[in-house]
Amino acid sequence: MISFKHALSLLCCIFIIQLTGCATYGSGVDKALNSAQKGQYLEAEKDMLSALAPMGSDRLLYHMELGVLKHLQGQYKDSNRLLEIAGKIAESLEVTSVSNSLAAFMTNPRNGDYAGADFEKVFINYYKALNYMAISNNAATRNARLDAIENARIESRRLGIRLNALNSDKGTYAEQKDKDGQMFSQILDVFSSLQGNLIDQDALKYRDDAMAHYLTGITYEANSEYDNARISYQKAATSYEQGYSKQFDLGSDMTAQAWFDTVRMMRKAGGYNSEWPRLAKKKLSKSQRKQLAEYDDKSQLVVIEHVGIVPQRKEMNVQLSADPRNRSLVLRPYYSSLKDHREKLAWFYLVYADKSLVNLMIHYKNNDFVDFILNDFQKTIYLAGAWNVIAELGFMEAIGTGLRITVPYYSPPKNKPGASFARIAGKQYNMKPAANPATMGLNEQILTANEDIRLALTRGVFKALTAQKAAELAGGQFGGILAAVGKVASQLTDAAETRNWLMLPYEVRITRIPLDAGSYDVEMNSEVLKGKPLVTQSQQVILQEDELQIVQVRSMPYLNQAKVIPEENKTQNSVALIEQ
Amino acid sequence: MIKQMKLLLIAAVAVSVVGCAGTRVSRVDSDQEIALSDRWNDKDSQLVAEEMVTDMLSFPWARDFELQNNSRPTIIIQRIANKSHEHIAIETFVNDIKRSIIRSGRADFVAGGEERKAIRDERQDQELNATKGKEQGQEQAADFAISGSLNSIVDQVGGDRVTFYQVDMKLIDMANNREVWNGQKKIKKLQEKGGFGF
Repeated sequence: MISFKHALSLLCCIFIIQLTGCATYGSGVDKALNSAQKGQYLEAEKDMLSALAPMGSDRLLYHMELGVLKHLQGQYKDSNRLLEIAGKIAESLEVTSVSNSLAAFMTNPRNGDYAGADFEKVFINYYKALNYMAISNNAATRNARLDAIENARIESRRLGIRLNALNSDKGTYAEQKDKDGQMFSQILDVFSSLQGNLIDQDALKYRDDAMAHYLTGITYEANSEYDNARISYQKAATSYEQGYSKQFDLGSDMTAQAWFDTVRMMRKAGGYNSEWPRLAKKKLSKSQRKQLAEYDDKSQLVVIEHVGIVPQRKEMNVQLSADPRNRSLVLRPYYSSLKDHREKLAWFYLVYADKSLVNLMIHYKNNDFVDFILNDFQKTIYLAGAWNVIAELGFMEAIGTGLRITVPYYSPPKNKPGASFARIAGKQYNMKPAANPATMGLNEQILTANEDIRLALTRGVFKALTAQKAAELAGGQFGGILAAVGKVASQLTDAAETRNWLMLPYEVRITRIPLDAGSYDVEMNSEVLKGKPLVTQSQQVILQEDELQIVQVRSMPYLNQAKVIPEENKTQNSVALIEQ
Repeated sequence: MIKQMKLLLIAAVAVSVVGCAGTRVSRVDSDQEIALSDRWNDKDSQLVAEEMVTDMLSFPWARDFELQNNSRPTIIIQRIANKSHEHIAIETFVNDIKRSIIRSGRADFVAGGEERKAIRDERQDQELNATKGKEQGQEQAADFAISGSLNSIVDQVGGDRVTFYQVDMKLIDMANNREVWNGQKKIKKLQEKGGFGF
């Protein structure tokens, strides 16, 4: 028998757990993100340090978020130290830990280790390569410069290995295109549409990274390995052309740029006298063919702009109830009067709600067709034979009238960035969209939505049943209290997986300019939030003879409110960011 | 009821354990081929080197040179262009070729390209700062030059892919531009992806 005092203590514990367990990851690091968006990266680092711990389930995020913040402060070596650890953590987490999954299964997924999405792991090597390129710009000796470029090349090779594995695992864009053209796949698509599947999962899969190939091309070129650079640019061009640009809504600028650089490398490497004119004719516009000569015997500036930050994953409450008549579980979004209710409904409809003809027929048969159409969306999970098993375990009593479970979702993007351009030596160069981590995150979430809801369901049912059984064991009047307390606990402690690497940029943009050796002011003008005033920053760069230099700019929406001077560059010749 | 509770816990553990697998690393013989994909691998590199060396040494260029000059010929490696679609460490099979030729005692190699530049820089530095520094301008000239290329063709339909690699190498007599050897090695690989992934 459990005393009233004990029951009360239990209740208090539950509320404490609830307090620590229910905030989203984004709200936990919001202060750091706000500082970062003003360009106050040191403040952001302090806030991040107080929000995250280097050990525990968020250790990967700790190293990734701080890795970017160090990068933004120009502390490239520290950034690489953090990202090197992040890479090792991510690799170790590719093997599931029993204790870790059990903890997450019993409580909520945020108690489990965050292992990172595929595209986030690519960005670890991407940032490391950029850091090494920045170190090479600031190197005091020739050997230090060559070492840094060599290290950037190593990161490029790591990127290549990771992308090869992705291709093998998920198929290339070319393979996907080929599969789409097959009759069997087309018939399958028809049946999939009839089932109400609005989403073509294959079209959302992150299967290659054209921009990462392009960056490896830059590092190989900087290392004077023109054959390898040509291969990377060609891989980038093919990837952009065959699906990456369309998948992430990037337009065709980078496809053209990557083909241009492929031909340029063939000319520079030599030995392609018959091949390069053919490729140029096939892939380059007339003006691009003219531009090829402009790069001969010139230095180059590659401007890489990282715009804004990726959106946060949010949490949606879903009511789980049982429908014994149809031997099924029913999920409905909780009604809330909050402003984001419509977007939650939209998300629920997009990824979960019943839309198939079969489901409509069942509602018609149950005479709730009109109600179903007019009032709300729901997802029905037919258990068939499995129904008896969970009914025997006391599932009906455990969930009572309904149980709250939680799933992650993304709001529709409201603050998409507008265009940006660089101004150098009196000329204006449009920045070309090269990658879109925001869409990568959204796609990943849609792809894992069904797995999310399956785990949330299992977790909710498991916790409710456990509480019910514990109450039955306790018996007496307090058994009832325990059952109620247990049910409340299971609902309050549930939380969705809302973690993602939030210091990643919303979009990555690139432009490439041939210049003579000399000193230049690079002015970046970016409409970080569409319709808002331009954010302007400038840097001074000194280009040596035959040098390829990368200029990295992070455009944050509220940079106007702060002055940013990267630490390492205060005494160096290259960077001085100025607010508008 | 206790039994049911136990069952629940066992089920939870079982769910968590599903899909778990540890990482295991084992040492294998470096000659053993482990083809995980149709990409260029260490075995391809080794096969190309063996084929090229055997073929190159079967031609009479080294013997003829030795008869005429009473000394072993020297070779410089010019550019081996990677014209394929994959990043391939060309240096590995070029080094295999160099080692095999040196071991055969039929020819020597002289440094070229960046390596030669670095040695010249070092020599210049030693000339200024070290005792018994070597003089500039005493380098051994190359009698022959090796150059070549690696090409690839990829043909793919559905899950099946044929990848064809061709390595072409040639040896040029530096005195008269005569091509005294021309070697070729072809490698063809078929990759079939099983199953139908949806």
